[in-house]
Amino acid sequence: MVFSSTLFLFLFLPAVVAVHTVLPRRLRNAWLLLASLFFYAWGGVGYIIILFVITALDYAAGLILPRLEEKRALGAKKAFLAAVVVCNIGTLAFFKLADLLLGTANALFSADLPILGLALPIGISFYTFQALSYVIDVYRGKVAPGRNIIDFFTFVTLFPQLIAGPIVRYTDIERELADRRVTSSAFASGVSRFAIGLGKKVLLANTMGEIFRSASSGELTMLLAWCASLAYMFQIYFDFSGYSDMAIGLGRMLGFRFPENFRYPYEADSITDFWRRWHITLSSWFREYLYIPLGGNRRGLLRQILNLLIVWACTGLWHGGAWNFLFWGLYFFVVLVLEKLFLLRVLEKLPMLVRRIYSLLLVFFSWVLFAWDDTGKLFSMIRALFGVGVPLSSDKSVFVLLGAASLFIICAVFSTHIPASIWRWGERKLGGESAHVICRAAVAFSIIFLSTAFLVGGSYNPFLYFRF
Amino acid sequence: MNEKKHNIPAAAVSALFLVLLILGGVGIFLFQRESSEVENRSLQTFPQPSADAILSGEWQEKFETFTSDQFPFRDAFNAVGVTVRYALGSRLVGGAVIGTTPGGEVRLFEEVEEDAERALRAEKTVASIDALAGTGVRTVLLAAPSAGAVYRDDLPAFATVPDAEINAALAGDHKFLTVSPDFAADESLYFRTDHHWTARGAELAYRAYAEALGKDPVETSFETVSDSFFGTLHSRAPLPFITPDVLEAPTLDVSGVRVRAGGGFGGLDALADISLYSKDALDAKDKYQYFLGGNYGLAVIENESVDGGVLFVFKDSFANCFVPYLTRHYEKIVMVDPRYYRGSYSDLCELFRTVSPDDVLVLYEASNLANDKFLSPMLDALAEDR
Repeated sequence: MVFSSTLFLFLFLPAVVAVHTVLPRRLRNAWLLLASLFFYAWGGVGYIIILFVITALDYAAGLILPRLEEKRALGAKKAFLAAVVVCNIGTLAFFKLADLLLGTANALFSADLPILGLALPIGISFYTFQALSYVIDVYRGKVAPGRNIIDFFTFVTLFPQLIAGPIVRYTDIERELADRRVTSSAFASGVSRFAIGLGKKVLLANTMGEIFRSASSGELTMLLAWCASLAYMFQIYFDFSGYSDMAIGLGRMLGFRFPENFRYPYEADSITDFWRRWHITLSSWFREYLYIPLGGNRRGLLRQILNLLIVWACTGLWHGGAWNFLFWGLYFFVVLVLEKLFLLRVLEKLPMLVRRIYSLLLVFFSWVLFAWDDTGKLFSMIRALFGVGVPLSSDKSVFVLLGAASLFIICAVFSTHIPASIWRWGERKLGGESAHVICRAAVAFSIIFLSTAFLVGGSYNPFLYFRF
Repeated sequence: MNEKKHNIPAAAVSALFLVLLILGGVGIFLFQRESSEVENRSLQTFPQPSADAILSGEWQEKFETFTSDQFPFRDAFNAVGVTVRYALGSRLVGGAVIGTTPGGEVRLFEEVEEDAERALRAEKTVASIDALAGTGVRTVLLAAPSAGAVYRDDLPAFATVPDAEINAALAGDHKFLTVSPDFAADESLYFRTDHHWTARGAELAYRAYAEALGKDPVETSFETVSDSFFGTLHSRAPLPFITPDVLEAPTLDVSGVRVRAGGGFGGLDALADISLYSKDALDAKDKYQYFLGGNYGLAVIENESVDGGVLFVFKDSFANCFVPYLTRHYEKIVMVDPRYYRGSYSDLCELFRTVSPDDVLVLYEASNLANDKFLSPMLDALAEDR
């Protein structure tokens, strides 16, 4: 089930949230667990078993690790953690990479290994990381193991963030899992946040997706290649950050505070900065549970570069079982190492505008790499972007651009902090907390109304991060 | 942010949010509609659950379609969505290209999708028509230009003009006769909200046809049969400010005409009586079906007040409002719509031999002709049989 559907918006959401609000607190987690399992099972009953097994394993691991600690069996504790991590990551890697490796082996050695054709269990990349954060934190003694199996299952399966993040760590919501209040202020702010996310997804990302699709099909021209890639750049941002906003908003309606996942990434002034603003919960997860355990930057420059290589290869493959995602990760590895070595110092001396353009261009090309898992299409797109072997423009190119121009401008504006700043300025002028609440609600309801209009018409509604 | 535990406006907003969503959700289950007049398609009604359907996920899929198909005020919401897209500059919505007439009214066109195969298909179809003409029967091709080719100036800026492939395929010499009516852009020749030509457009084409074959065209006038026609393109882009088309029919004397039609399976004997003009269609959404009541695989039109002349027509829906004019020139007209023909090729060959037509007419809209996959093999079978 996706958030941007009439089914979710008008049946699932109000039913789950309304019942959650009126239930006594001790029953709320059980209700959310039930709802989340229903939410997950809707798209296919089969994969719920994997979700179940992984969650049960990690819950059990959380109980066993402290016992080993008590018995001072530190070697066994380490080995046990390693085994649990291998099970978690192994399952994830199996679904992501098995076919990639088989296919590549077939191509390289002209072998004929059967391709498994497994569909990726929805959300596995997200919930595996969430559950794993708990196991590792228990190992580190940072959290006490969950007292209650229902609470833990609720944490892993919590439907707002189950399938597309943000990657919520157990420590983030530990307190709220045990006891939470839903205040009307929090609920109302959740409504606004959810509406903003819905609008980003349905009004902006879907529309950009349509432009991407029509611009990248058929004969390419240089202009079409730029339109398509720009549309994709906007689509992926509004799609993903919209989904995170919806998750955070839903969380607030349910009394949770999920971590922020995006901070105007297209305003970054370097790629280092970009990755502090894009999919923040993923990069901080990798930092916390991979980069720092590997030694981070404390073991000399060469070791640091190797650590970065490992982290970025993993980040790439986390996004999908195709070579282009690995290249995409390595692309950032190269840029980030260069920035660390000298580029950041150079950039600091340049005017902000130059730094922004530098970052945007690099991000732009990274999305081209990201968008095309078919190498042939990738290369023809890159050639077209540089105008090699394609005409500069065509009637269709101009037609697509004319239809997209105003939307490009809207998307560009909404990629920045400007709308939020204007809003805050307006709120300062317009005194009174009540007036603020009412204005926010008016905007939220308008966005929901318009999004419903776009959704009901059955327009294009894919969801990019389902693949990951 | 200042967060008091409870404040009344926030509580009201929260409650209103849930109430509005719940109202929408309940509305889905009330007032179910079997089909949408505006969109001209059937809608998903509540799917009956079964264990198999749920396990396979089929029921869930249908249920999701159901929630969006039966959404309260769906048509109004849809119109809002389309209008916003238009206002933001999009001139291509739901496969309809949105143009403007010189009078400032909206004229909708079919999207010209890029298709690398189309040029090949067009060549193949033209070659098949040529092959049939090569067997000695007088063959005429009337490819009605697509609305976008007639009203180029009404297309939005830089929109693709259709028919390039078929025009390329038709260049050069052929054994068949080509009739190209001169559609100097008179606004009344094609509907604005539907992809078809009007009875006036068809009449212009008929004159060109009669002239080419040395026949004396009948004079006719037109009567309005409906002034509230929203065509199939309007279904795709239901902009609220589009005015309806006027549906006209020629005032021809068709008293001696008998029409029989069917799928084609079982030959002429299996056909049922229909009429040239279907009054029932005027109460439905797709009022173009007034002409012949729609498309049939095989139809026979006989006019007892005409002596002699047999015509065999291969056609798409453009022929439906064209063929009434021809009833004055042929005693018998056999019409085959290859997309809907359910009989066998051998039966068709035998029929073709039995009726032994004086003329063969291929009448398609140009873009349909270039996209069609059914006509060429049928004509090849006929040519081979002769």
